[in-house]
Amino acid sequence: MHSRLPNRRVIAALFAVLALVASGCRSGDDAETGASDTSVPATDAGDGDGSDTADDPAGVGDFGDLEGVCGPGDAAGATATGVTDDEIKVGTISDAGYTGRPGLNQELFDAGKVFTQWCNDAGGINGRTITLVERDAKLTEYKQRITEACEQDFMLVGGGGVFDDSGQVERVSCLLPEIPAYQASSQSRGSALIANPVPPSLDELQAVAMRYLDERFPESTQDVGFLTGTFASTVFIDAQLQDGAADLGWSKVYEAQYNPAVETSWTPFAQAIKSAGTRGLVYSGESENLAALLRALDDIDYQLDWLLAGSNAMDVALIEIGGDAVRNVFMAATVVPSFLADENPATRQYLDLFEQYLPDGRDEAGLGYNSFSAWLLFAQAVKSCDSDVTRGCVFNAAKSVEDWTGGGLHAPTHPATGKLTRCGIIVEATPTGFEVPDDFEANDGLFACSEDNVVAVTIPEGAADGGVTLESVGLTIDDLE
Amino acid sequence: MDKFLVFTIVGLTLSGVYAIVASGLVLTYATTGIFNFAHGAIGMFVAFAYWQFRFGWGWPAPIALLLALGVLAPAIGLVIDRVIMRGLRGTGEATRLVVSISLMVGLIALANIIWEPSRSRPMSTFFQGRRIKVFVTTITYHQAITILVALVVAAGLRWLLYRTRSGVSMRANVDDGTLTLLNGARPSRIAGLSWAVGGFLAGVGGVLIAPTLTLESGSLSLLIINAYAAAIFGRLRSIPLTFVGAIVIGLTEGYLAGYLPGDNRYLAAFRPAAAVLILFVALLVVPNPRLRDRNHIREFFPAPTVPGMALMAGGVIIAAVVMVTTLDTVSVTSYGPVFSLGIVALSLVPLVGFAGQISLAQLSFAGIGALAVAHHGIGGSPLGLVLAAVFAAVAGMLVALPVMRLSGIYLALATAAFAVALDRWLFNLPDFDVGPVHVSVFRSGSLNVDPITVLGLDFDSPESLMVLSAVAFAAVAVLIAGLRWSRFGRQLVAMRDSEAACATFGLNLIWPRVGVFALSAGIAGVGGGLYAMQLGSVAPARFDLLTGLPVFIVVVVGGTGLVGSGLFAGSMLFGVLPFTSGFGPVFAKINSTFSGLAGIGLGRNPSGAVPVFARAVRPLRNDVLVLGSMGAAMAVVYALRLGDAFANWTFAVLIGLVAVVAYVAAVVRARAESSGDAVVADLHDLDWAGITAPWTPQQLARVESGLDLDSVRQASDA
Amino acid sequence: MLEVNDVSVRFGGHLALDRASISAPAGQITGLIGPNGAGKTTLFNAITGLLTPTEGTVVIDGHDVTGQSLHRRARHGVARTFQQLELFTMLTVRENIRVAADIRSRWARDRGDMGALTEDIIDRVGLRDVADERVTAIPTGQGRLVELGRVLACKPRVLLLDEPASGQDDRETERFGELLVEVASSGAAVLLVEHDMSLVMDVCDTVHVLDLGRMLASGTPAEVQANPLVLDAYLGTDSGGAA
Repeated sequence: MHSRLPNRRVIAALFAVLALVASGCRSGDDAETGASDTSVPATDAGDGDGSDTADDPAGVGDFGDLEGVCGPGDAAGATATGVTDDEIKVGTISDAGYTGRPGLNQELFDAGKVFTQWCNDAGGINGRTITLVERDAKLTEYKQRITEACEQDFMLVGGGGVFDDSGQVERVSCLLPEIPAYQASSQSRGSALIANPVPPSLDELQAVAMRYLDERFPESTQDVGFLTGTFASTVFIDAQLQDGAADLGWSKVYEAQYNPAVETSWTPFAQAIKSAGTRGLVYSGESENLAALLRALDDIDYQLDWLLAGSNAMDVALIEIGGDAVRNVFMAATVVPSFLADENPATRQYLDLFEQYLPDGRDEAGLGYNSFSAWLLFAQAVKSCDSDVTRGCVFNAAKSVEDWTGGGLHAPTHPATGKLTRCGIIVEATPTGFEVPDDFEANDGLFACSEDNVVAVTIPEGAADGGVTLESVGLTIDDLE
Repeated sequence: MDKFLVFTIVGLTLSGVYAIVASGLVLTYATTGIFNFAHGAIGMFVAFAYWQFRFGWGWPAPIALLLALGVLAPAIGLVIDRVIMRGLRGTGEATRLVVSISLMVGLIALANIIWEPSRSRPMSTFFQGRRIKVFVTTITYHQAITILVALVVAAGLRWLLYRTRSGVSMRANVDDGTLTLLNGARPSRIAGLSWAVGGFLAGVGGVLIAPTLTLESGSLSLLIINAYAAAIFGRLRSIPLTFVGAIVIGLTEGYLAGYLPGDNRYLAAFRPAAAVLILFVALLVVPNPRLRDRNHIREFFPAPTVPGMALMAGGVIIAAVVMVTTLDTVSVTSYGPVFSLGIVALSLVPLVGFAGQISLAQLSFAGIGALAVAHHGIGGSPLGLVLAAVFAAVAGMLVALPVMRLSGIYLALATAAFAVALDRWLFNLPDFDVGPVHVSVFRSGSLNVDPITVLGLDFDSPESLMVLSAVAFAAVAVLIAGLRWSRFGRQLVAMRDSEAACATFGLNLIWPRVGVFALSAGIAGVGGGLYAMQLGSVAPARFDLLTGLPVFIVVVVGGTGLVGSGLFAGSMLFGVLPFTSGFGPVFAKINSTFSGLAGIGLGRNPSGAVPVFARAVRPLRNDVLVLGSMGAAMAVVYALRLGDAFANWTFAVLIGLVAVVAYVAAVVRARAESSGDAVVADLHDLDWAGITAPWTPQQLARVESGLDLDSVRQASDA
Repeated sequence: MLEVNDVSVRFGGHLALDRASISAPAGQITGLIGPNGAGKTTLFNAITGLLTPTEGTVVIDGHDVTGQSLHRRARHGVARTFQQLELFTMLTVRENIRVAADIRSRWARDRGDMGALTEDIIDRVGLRDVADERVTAIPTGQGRLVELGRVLACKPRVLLLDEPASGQDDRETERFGELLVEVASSGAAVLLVEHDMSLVMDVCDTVHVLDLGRMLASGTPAEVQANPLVLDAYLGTDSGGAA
């Protein structure tokens, strides 16, 4: 019965791209954020409570530029669902148990495990240990997991489900706040009680990579092709990208969709791309398929000037499978990629913590960083609430953060407003690995930041369904205690 | 013109792979009569093995190829023949199909155990990067090799079949196995040879296609669907026509890629389904197959009895009530599908068990039911569930009508093609209009489903939905039993045995077939609707072909003709397996092979597992006193559990203990009773027949069937 | 009642029936004999529609049914038994007969009591003792009777019986012969393929001999028995191609 589902690759592509939409081209960030931009109001209080930790010369409980994220304390009281004198039960959603692709988004659980072990070793948050409850939605049981979390968990942190549109009514109705690693659906993005550390956007598009390509390859922007998977989510991104490209004055010469589950050969696509005279290609899909496409292009000896992929293509599989055919492939990142760990202490610490607590964990997967950032945001907020850990206090604290980098893991974001980040890093894939191209000009640490990096796009039809608001379920924010 | 030429070459390289794979399929089918659904899975497995040798361990390509293709692939074919297929003589078509489908599921599970699926396995093509200039385009060495190998395979097969002694016997075997026997060839040797060659060809296809795709067990195994279409062109017999089919399909795919407008979502999604649609069309022009006449069907399924059905229906409802009152919500949620998908399993009973038809698309019909509930059950309207049955039944009819004159393997392929067309195409479409009808499918990927409200009762919790599903399950079970007792049911069962005889009585076979197909699809739709409510939201991934196959397999393993097999499948797949998988990853891995192994084992006992079980518990069932006491004791234990006297583990152990004690008591009492009686002449006790007692007609019949007089006569007639 | 005119059937290069003609008048038992592979069963298949003749016509009760499907022909009143038993193995003896009666009641405007008809036939063919047995639990001889019973339940005007006596012992065969005479005397045309010569000679009004797909001889039992061609076909060169 645990048969593999045929469209495993479909789902992978789906998820990968959803993740991409979610974070509007997540990228890495860097350390430019040297400062603890984290303006969780309670940071000071936290420092006070965690003074033991702070005194620790090793800085136990510090992460990146955040000091005393975790540490001992004397918080007490069963102040909310899932909270006792010495424990806070927190749920994390993932789809790792999906039989069609075992381990789908496993990094969300992995990052949660690493964070909680590290944090508890440091003394917990104000002395309360964090208990991670893995809520495995297995792709299609999202709603059921939300229902369970409503009854048992204090909050949802550091997770996300591919089909997260399905449980929003339940989640908002039971007043369960979430600090997600990513949000896939427009339904989720429009819903209440969410503080996303790397907020996505529906009407804005991260265009840092397009700007970069526009400048570097001005002669190819009149011969642009678009290739995407056949699924609603990838088609949605493709439409946004086309919209953005039109804004920049690019012209489309080729457009196609592939079916990730059943393509028997990529040669037809390569031939079609060639016949159309495509010089630059915008690709929305999974990295393994991208590698296959690149090889097919190489097989017919056709060389694109550039190929723009989502940050999900920053996957070792692209290099392994694509080999020498991986040329002129670009992507933008809002989370600092792991290959830049040596230039970014927070990334280094993240990788070190994995080495220490979960050596076999998925430390390179992009969503793990988002997840860890969510946990940090959560911890800061809890700390600020002292003993009075209620859903209302913690959510409001997290939701009022205006400048956030996850301790330096990613570009500065605005959880409070949910505005898309204005910063990104350009990454180029080569046969030997990923690198930042030499001509990329960072102006803010590792990142290039500018208002121009974001373009307004129309919300594709069907994606504009509003999310679930408190009013729509007959509640107000005052009901959140 | 250049473009045309370019895509012609693209198409021909695709054709090469299809031709290689499909000719192996045709070879085994034609010589052994077994349509090997696992053919693609063998290719997948060999491709994985080749990856392991060549890239995992870094051995030189010639050695890796020799081991994978020269040793492993034929060995897999041989083992399959010796160990599995040989036991299938005299079994029905459904049984044979199940065995090969199980083999596919089993091979996929095995590959996933050996090669952890979440890792990526890069595989380079042969002579990667080298290419030849051909007219206006280039062709890689790999593509050239593919086409070349296809030509060699064509020539090689011709040589094998026409120039070698074994080959000539193989061709004779195609026409008439008995003839081969009379000619002095050993059919077993022929079968072994053709399985070995078939395995080899599957392996060649796998090794050639895997490097240009992702090395992934499920989709590689299903690529075969495209090759099936080619095989159907050859009517599963002619290898030259199969090559023609492969060329048609390859070219179609090539031209679609070249000329289909890329900006239309409806059309873009259509291309991958093209091969499947060609398969469907090819099936339509397959000439009328011979009507099935009686072959020595070993399966036997007695009609359900009234007490048996009462016991089962009551038991199901009681079990559901006990579960919801003792288990926590999380467990109730995870065991929810026992009854809802159990109904989908039940839907196979009239179709496969009674009528002897085959459908691999039951879960797809369930998906249609789920869609109906999602779109029309808003706010809890029971209309959703009604329409679930109606829509699914109509879909079933639409699939069935064009292919209803076909049966057996063709029907299996047609339904599989339908399921794949849904997976790859229809389920992914945005909303569309068919004339005045607006059709909504899954839209963005997942749909919200409201729980149903019936007679003012809201079934909005997992507990209430489980009880509702159990009641529905019991009702459907009774309905199916009623069908079996009815005139229509008897006709279906009669058709299963001999369509020819039914037709000579004046029965138009089309309508009973379409009727039972629609009924069965409708039942599956209801199951899918209930399942959707339990899930709360539905996505197409829940309803695809590969997910549905284990249901089909386990129902047949249970004994398709028995209503109990629906319960068996539901409780095994969605109760016992998830439960035991919870003990640890090792158990989960073992369980992942369950349906595959169980199906493969079916050849040994074609009537299935349920009769074995039923026979075992007969003493208990017949002993009213012990049965009553057992029920009372269980009720007491249950009452104590409700009073929180102990926890679930104790409860389960106590219930088990009561059952065991009751069983032992019943067996002992039955022994005591029968020991006084004279020894009843047992059918199995032929040794003494005619000596201590006169021959009975039953014993004579057994001797006759044992001697297989009919086929001897047939052979001598020939 | 049944007229077969110049029917040929070709399997690939093999001519299984070569312009065979035969007629079976109502109220009579017509015998069809011939060595193995002569084409007897092929002829039955051509008459009932299991295969389509390459040329020639089949006329039942004045209707040309040559191109029609099996069930249409059956509705003109043809019914047959099979050389190899085609019993419904999942059903009992009674149910086997009942199914045939039920099927008939769907197309004939005959809304009689099918249960009563079934019981009547069980008695007529003498299967009362085993009526509730599964058909696989009875010997072949009785299986032949079940097939006959099923055919009778269709109330056919033309009965084709393919080696109905094989597997029966002498006593059963004798009883079977009586039954056939009874059926024919009620007005049906019976066409009997049989190897048991004594049965054929006892009950048939006319006998046709088929060899290598061709009609060899026709006549009364006595005439046929004396025909040298027939003797030769049976005793001489028995060239048995696949039937």
